[in-house]
Amino acid sequence: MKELWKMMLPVVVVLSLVTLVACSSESGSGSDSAPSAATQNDGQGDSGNAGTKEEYVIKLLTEATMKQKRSDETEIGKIIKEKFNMVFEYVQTPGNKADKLNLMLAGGDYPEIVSISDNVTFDKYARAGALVALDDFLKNAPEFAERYKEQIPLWKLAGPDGKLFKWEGDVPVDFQNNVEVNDIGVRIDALQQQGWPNLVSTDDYIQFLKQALKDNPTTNGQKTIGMVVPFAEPWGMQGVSGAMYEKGGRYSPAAGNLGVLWNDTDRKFEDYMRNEYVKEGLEFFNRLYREGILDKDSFTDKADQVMEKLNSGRALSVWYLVWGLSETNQGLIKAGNPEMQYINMPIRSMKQVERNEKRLIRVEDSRSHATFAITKNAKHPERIQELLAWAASEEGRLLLQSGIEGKHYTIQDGKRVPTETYLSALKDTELYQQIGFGMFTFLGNVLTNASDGLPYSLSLDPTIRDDLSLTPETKDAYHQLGWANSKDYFLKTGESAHTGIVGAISLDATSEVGALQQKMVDFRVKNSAKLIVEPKTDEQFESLYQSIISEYAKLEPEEVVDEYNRLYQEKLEQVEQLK
Amino acid sequence: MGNTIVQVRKSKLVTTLVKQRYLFLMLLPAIVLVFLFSYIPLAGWIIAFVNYRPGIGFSSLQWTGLQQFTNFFAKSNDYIYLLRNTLAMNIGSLITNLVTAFIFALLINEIRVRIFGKLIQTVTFFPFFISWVIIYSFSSSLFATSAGAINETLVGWGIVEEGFNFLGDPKYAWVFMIALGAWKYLGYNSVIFISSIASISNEYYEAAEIDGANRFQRAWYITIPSMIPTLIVLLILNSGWILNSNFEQFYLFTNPTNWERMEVLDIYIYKYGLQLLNFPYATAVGIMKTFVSLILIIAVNSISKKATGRAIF
Repeated sequence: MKELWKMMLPVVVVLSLVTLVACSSESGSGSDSAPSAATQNDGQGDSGNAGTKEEYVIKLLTEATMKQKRSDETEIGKIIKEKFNMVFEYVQTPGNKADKLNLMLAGGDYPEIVSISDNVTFDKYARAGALVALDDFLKNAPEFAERYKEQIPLWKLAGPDGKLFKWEGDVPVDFQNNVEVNDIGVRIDALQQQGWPNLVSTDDYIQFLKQALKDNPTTNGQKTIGMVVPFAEPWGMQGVSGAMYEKGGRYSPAAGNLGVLWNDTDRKFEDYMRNEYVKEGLEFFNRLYREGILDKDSFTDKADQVMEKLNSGRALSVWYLVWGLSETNQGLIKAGNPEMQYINMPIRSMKQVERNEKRLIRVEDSRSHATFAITKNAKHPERIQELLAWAASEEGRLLLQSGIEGKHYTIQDGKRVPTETYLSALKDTELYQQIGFGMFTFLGNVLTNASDGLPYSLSLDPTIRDDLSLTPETKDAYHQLGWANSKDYFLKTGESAHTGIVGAISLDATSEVGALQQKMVDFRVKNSAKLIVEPKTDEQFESLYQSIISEYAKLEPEEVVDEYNRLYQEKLEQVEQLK
Repeated sequence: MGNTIVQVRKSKLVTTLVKQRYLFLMLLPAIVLVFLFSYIPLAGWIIAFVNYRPGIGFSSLQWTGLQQFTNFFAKSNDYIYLLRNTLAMNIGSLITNLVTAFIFALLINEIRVRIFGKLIQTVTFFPFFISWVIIYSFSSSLFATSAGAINETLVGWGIVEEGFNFLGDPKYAWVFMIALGAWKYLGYNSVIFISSIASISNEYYEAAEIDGANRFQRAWYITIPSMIPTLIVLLILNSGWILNSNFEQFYLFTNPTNWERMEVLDIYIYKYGLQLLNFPYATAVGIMKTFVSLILIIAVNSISKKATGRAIF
């Protein structure tokens, strides 16, 4: 018996180990590509009759913080479930989104609906055959085709072979509904202390912030910080350190944050690193750093840490990260510091002030930052397409962006009027999400007007936008500055600049020229930080800048610029054929 | 005659296999795992030699030969600072970790109150279980230039005018990483030395005591020489990992201001391989790393054999 046990023991050990390894590889993989259970639908039927179909649950990766885990916990989500028996499960994924997308593609482990933030990653997905083509869907979705008729040729252009693989959010755009200007958030009490100066130039800001630091050495017991910037974010150093170029004329941010800029005046791409306004922007940061105004933690702070400093009112200003200021201001009011709220103010470099050209305010005809696509891992792509077609209809858009008639808006004289519930939701993130606003952006939000002439998202209505989004203190601040509204200065000194096909142009990341662009971006990111931190005088800045530029020239970046311009000409011809 | 020798050898082998069959069976899962997860993936090295793209079959890929290796060494200077940073921090960490663990084990062994010694050992083991993400959060809270507790205290007390930029200034990068690593792995590394001390026969100490040796002399002439073989084995084993960095640690602590002294090979491979999906390039860098590590471990083993007579193989 003992001998038998001795013989069996090793066999038992081996079998147990093998079973353990096999079971670990099946469970707990956390795959977001597989839909949850109960999706046994045969996929028959083309109507939105939920009764004939089983519940289809789709996992969506999201970076937003939300209480609701499923879409049917929201009011809008319940209606979608009634109509289509589809539910979306929100899976929070903190961290670098681009990294995650690349890892998912490499592992073939992507979700059924993928959200992509740039054309380069979209291009990788499309070339890898990971996405479902939507050309056939388009033939059967006339409302979708009509709503996005300007965008569809551009979306096809962005793909590798002229097919439609994606749709985008926050397009099309009516310029009056979305004046996209992300400049500097400034604390209003600091402005008040200095008599409401109309800050514009970089010199204005340096003097202002120096004085403001003297007037406010501490805030709530902590040392006051002049300016905060989330340079540690992936888009931080790469995207916002050089953003000065978009504050004046000639250049629009249509080309993104890679190796090139779009010169809208000359209709051509130019090198990013060697742009004169980018240089002025880095010089501005260097001066801020030397004067002790720029927070030294900016290079290690992510957006969360910057928001924390803003929420405490400790920072006098913030560069670029102004889209969260409404929430910050609400928080400051609740904390009993209403005087420390922030408003978005303009900035220009000295050369831009001198030239006094109209600022080119981007109007996106395509928005690669909000790209969505159905992947090959989708169990029932036809059901997703059915929902997408409905979302593009007038009924769908009104529900998704305006809410429920009678509850979130009423109709008066043929126009939608927001109710108290809607207005409260604008100030209360929890209520906002509970209704379902902002939870279905993957179905393509639009920034245009409905048939009644008002924006689908009522909060964008220019006539009531400030009343809806600004607090009494911030409204007063703009009034003190002599502005008619929060966009007044920008509208007077700027003009709209449609991106056209520019936003749809990208390089194949795996090609030689694509790899060269990556090296250029890497070089720019690393040396921008050097230019901000190292020079102690203007002369040192200039000397370091010139030596960095000569190193940069050895990469031969003209190849990338020339390729972009070649693609631009090529796609100009192609887009006509795709219309 | 030759056939007879071969047959004898074969039958000896079979006899050994049968006699020690239980031992071999117990070893089998480990061999299978190592084979599956360490040797079979070596076939992926082919990626470095073709124009690989995810989603596209190998048969339709273009052969590129040594182009990626050329790109790394000839077309860019990245390898200079990468190798410098990787070697500096890893060699520094290796020496610091081994020396601190060695001294710590020695000191723990001298503690007379056993319970107290065990308590110290347990407490020093805790950091090993803390993830680098938590350590980064702690570091940020403590060492951030304007918002960190340490810098705020120093500035508040008037000791310094401005906080130290430990997280961003490249001149602190190496020391900071080595110090954090030493703190985290001290307890774990000292376990091996403590067990080697435990294996020293008490007779040596008794004999030394009889001969009049004091505690320091017993430690110097008995304990330390007995720990040296363990130190050498650990040194040889770890030398093969000299180009491998703790990915999590460097991913969190590398930022745009300290990259020049902080960016290591593994982060570079991650950046180009997984962030930019340039798999061939990243694979080529990884292959280079493997061969250099192999050469290093063989070299260190030979040197140790010649110098001390001790080696692993």
